[in-house]
Amino acid sequence: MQFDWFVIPFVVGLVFLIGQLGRIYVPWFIKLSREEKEMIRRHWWSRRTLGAVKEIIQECLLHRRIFRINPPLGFMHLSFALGWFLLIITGKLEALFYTHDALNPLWYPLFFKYFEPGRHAFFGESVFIQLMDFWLLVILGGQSIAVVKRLWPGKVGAKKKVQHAVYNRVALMSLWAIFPLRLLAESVTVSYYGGGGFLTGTLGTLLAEVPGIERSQPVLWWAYSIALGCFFVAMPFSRYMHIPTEVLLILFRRWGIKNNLVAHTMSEVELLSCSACGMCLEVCPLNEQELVASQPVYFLERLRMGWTKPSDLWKCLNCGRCEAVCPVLVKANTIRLKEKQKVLPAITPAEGERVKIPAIGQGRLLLYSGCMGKLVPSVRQAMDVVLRHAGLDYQWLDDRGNICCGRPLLLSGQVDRGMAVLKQLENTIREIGPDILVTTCPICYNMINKYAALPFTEVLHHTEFLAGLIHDNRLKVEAHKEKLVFHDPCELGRQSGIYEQPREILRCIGRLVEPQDNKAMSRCCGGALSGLMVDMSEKVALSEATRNSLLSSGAQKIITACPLCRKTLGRQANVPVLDVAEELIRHLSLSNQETAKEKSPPERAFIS
Amino acid sequence: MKKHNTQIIIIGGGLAGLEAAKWLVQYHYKVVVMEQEKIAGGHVVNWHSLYPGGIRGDELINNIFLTKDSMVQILTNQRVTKVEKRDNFFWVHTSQGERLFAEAVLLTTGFKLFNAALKEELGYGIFPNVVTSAEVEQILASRMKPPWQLPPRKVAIIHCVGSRDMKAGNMYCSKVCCMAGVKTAIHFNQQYPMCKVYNFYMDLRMHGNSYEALYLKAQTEYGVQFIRGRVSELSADQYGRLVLKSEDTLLGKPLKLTVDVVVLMVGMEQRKGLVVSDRGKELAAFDGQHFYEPLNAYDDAHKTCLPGLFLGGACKGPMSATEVIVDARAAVQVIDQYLQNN
Amino acid sequence: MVKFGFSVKDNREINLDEKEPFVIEAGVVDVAEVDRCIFCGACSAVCPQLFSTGLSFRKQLLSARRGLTSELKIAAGECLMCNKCQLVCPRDINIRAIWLNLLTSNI
Repeated sequence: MQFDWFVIPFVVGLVFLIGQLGRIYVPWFIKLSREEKEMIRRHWWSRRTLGAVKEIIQECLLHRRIFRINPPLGFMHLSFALGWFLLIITGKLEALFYTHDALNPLWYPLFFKYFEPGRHAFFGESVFIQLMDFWLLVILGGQSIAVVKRLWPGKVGAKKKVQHAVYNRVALMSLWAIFPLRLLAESVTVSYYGGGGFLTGTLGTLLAEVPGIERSQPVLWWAYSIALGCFFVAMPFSRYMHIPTEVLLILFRRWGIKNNLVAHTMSEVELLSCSACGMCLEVCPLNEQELVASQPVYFLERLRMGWTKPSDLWKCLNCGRCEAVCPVLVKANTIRLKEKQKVLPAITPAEGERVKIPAIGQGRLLLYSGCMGKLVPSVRQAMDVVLRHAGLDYQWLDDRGNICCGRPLLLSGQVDRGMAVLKQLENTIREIGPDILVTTCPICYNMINKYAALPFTEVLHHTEFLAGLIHDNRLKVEAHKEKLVFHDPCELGRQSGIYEQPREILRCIGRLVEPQDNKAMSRCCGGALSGLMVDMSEKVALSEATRNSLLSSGAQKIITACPLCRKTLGRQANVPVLDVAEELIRHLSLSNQETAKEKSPPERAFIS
Repeated sequence: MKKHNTQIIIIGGGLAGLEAAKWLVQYHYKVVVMEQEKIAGGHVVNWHSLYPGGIRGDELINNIFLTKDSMVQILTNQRVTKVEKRDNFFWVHTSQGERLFAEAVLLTTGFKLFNAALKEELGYGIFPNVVTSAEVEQILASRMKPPWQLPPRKVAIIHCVGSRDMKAGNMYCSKVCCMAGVKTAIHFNQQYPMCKVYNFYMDLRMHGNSYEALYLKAQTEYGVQFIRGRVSELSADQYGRLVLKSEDTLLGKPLKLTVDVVVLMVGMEQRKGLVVSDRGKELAAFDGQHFYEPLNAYDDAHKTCLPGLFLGGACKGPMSATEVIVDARAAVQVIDQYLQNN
Repeated sequence: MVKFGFSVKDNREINLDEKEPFVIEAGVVDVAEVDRCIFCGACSAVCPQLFSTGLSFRKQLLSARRGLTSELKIAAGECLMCNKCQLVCPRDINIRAIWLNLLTSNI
């Protein structure tokens, strides 16, 4: 039995960590819903698990997604994760080859150099020694990048530095102490007994010159063990929980468990999987303006400690840029929404149904402009022109009154009430029973598409519908030479995945130019529905930044497809900001003007 | 007399500029009025009538012209781009690249009308029968063809469009629209006797006894309905009529009204595009973001931080025609005093 | 019983000697701008709820200013959080944030 008292801190730390992991993970499995458990049972012995293993290697060890966004940071994460992982594996193998006994004590491979100093001429010894030194060098290389990132974030291409809370700094410091201490401890041992690799050997030879160096040996090994112990004790409370949790997250995700408004475990898993890498910090439009620290990295950190502030919940645009860059694919918006729900007292939907919207007859094609649509009458007017031009019969759902889709309520945190309002809208639509429902508002579109049960109705955003009309040649358009840029509304692009249809329309009617930040990385207009605590000056700053970004493409007109974006961006713009439909009517070709005239409404008559 | 050689340039040939020119000439100064439009007269010349008495705008301008002196030189189609202060005099630059000498400059650049299309929920530029107050003046004065073919039966006049509105960027009251709204309501009734007019207001500011009398006349003689509530949603029905939504705030109840014509009482805004510089340094006070500010609102209401540069009329803030005339005359006194002392 | 020819109700005056104007305090979200209201009614005019439930921020705020808070909470429960009111408000008051606050406060 190889033993020395200094292994105690390490062992205590490790045991503590395992106990904590059990405390955290076991309730997760218990709280999984029946469907989720069933899903795990069905999938765990399938190719999905293999895929998960592949993804775990790619993401947890190699950190491919971070690499793609920022190579230096990717290398930093890779060297820590892969280096440490291989150090453990190689160490284990080294001990195995030496003892021919797989059941050596837990600490034995770690402190191998201490217990078995010098050379022993077992099979592959020199390879192991060099390999161990190499992995240590990789980690130390990564660590130096980490130090640079802390001190001068700009040098490694990070615009913003994450300001970590105290307990995270403790964990960070102990992590940073581990590897230099190991290097020193091993080198000192080597300097006395010999037998080191290219790194420890060289350093050992140098240290041998220092008189009395051998006396520091127990101190260094103690320090190494204490650093490890400290890190393990701090880990369950710090962001380093992402190391084990991310593995679980990838497995769960591959097995088909989703993080949604009802999921319990998955939110917790995602919460602890956040490594606080700070990618979200760079892209958050609110952070670009230095307005608020409610980005997922901070929000989730505070949430882990139970310190969330109102601004974490309501000073967020819900634009989803953070989700788009997150290397761990944490659904921060969903987690945020659930937290809002928890903060608000249980608000039961008010008694009584909303006023029934009088039936407006049967129609195959139903249009819905939503609440916001009423504030931009020109979009509705344009849709009227386009649809008459195409010779279509249609009806407006909001002709007799205003119904809301419920998304604003949902985003404010009143999920149940939002769903109740949606149900009301759903019933109204079902009564009319259209084949196609076209909304001119991506917010309504997102809500109806995601949560409404309309089995006999195809729900389309008007850009999809218009692109379809043009594609089918039912709408003939003429192209002009104007440069047009499309602003992707958050609810349409990132949240509903519609990027191409509006661009197809614009390609048909003008020259489409793209700004630097487009599609999945497009900026929020500033007026986002969810920004309950974002005040006017901040909104103005946000929309100005967005407008400048869009105009950097050299466009003469900004085209969007959301009444809210159109209103927010257009407020102080020096170029026209228009909806796709509004721009489209300027390009309708005259060839089927005849049909348009036939379909036009009766002559304007005055009230008598 | 030395006075005859002293050149004063008045920038803006509207009501204030012409009135000031008329009186400066009486004081024997040489006056040049720079007007960017084809004819002088400013906004007022297009006005159908000016409250409280109801004089036609062009008539008022003609009254001023009748008394004009040969010493007034009116240069039209001259857009001033820059006023440059040198040691004791000014250079006034025009867009044609000319440079004029002046010993004193009076800014009577007036105002520009709020672009009603910015309040897109009110449908200006989208529905043809939504017109601005300025267009209505021209329509009533038969200077413009009305967009309606049949005489309107119901008209809504919406006050405070682009005034008292953070969203429009204008946090002030445009002052004249309350009265102009009442006046327009009366004129609609006079021109279209079958017409019923509704005024939607936030506050009715009837400061002045003859104003209140006009308000009373509108209520009693013409049956104009005054509804306290801001209209913020407007749509068209299937016949092209305009449907307004508002809250009757005095009753606390929702209100819907279908009308033929909507008149937007657009507010006043400062004009942009004039640069004032002092020895090569541009003055931020004249960037056109806000109305020009005089030294104070009391006894130095016409002087600016630049000695020799004076303000008159609505470039200092919203003013009615009567106030502009008084203000322009007062400016004349101040300019005379300045030039005498120099 | 004396017959007046009309019915007599309880004293209906707003007694500001007894009632303190209600102050809306910061709750789940910060709202500092309530005092900016000029009671123009633009918010209610665009409200999708006004026509069906009579929800009127202007009316409720004015009532609260006079110490009448009995309907505040019910009104707060009627808000759909659509934010149209803020878009048209000439004083840019974050009205739905105020409703959200009232909803969570104990009045």
